[in-house]
Amino acid sequence: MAHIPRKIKFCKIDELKESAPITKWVDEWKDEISAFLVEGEILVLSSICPHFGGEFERVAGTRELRCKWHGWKFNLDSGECLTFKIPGGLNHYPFSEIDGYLELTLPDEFVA
Amino acid sequence: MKIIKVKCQQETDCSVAVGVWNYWDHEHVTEVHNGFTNFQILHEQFDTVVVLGTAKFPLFGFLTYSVVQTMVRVDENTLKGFNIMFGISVRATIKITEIQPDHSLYEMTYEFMVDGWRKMFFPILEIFLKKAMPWWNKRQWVEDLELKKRRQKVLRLGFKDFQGLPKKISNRYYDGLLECKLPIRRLPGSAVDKLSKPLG
Repeated sequence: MAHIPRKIKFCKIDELKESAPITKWVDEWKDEISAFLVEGEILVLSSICPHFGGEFERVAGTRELRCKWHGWKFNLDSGECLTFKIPGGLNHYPFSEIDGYLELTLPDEFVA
Repeated sequence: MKIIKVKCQQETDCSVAVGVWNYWDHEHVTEVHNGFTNFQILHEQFDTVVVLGTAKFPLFGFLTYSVVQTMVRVDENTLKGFNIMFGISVRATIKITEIQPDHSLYEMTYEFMVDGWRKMFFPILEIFLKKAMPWWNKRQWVEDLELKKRRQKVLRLGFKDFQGLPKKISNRYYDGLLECKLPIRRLPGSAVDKLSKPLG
C-alpha cells in the first residue's frame, strides 16, 4: 500500500479567509475534507454525508451543515447528526497554522 | 389509440447499481430536482413503488400539478414507470447497461398513449413532446449527474450507507460487485413517508 502522509498542507489561511469554506478531495487520505471559518474559528471536517455520501452546505448564520442530497443536518462542532440518531458522525481533523498554511494532521485511528 | 414515442440516451461514469439507486432514492427528489415541490411514497415493496409527486409547471412555477406514478424494477438493468399526465397514459422504460466497468449507457424511452378526443391534438402533442421531453430529460439528467458520480466514487472507497467511509484509510477501497438492493433503506420519520401508512 502507498505511503500515507501524516500531515498535509490543505490550503492557505488567506485563501480560507477570502473564500471559506474550502472543500477538496484529499486523495492521499481518501476523503473529502472541508475547512470552515465560523465566527473567526477554523473547523476542519470530513464532508461526506454518512447517510448516502452526499455533499454539504453550511446553513447560513448557524453552526450547522446540511446535506444537499437529503437535507440531513449535522453539528459543525461535534460532527453529530441532528436529523436522525445514527451511530457515527463527521470526523474532525486536527490542524495547525504553519507558515500561512492550514496543515492537517491525520488522527492515529485512521492509520492501520 | 395513437402512440408518441420519445427516446433519450445518456452515458456516465457509474455502475448500474448507482443508476438504479438514483432512480429509487425517493428522498433526494425534492432536494435535488428543482421542478418538484413534494414527493410522497404511497406504497413500496421490494421491486415496486407507488409515489405521489407534485411538480411545478415549466415557465409558470407558481402553479403545480400532482401525479401518481408507479415504478417497477423489471430486472437488474431495467426500470419501468407508469403514470397518467393530464389524461394521457405514459410508460417510461429505463434500461441501464454497463458498457465498461463503472460506465453505463442509459436508454430512456417514453411512450405517450393518446386516445379518445385527445387524438384531435395528436400532431401538436407530438411536436410538443418531441421537443419538451429531451429538454426535460436533460434537465433531470444534469441535476442528478454529480450525485451519481460522487455516489460511485464513495462506494469504490468502501462507503457503507448510514456509516460512511471505513475508519482506516487502508480499508477505503472496494473493487467488488456493486449491488442495489430494493427498497432503499429509510429511517422512521423520513420526509417521504407521510402518506405511506394508513391515513386518517
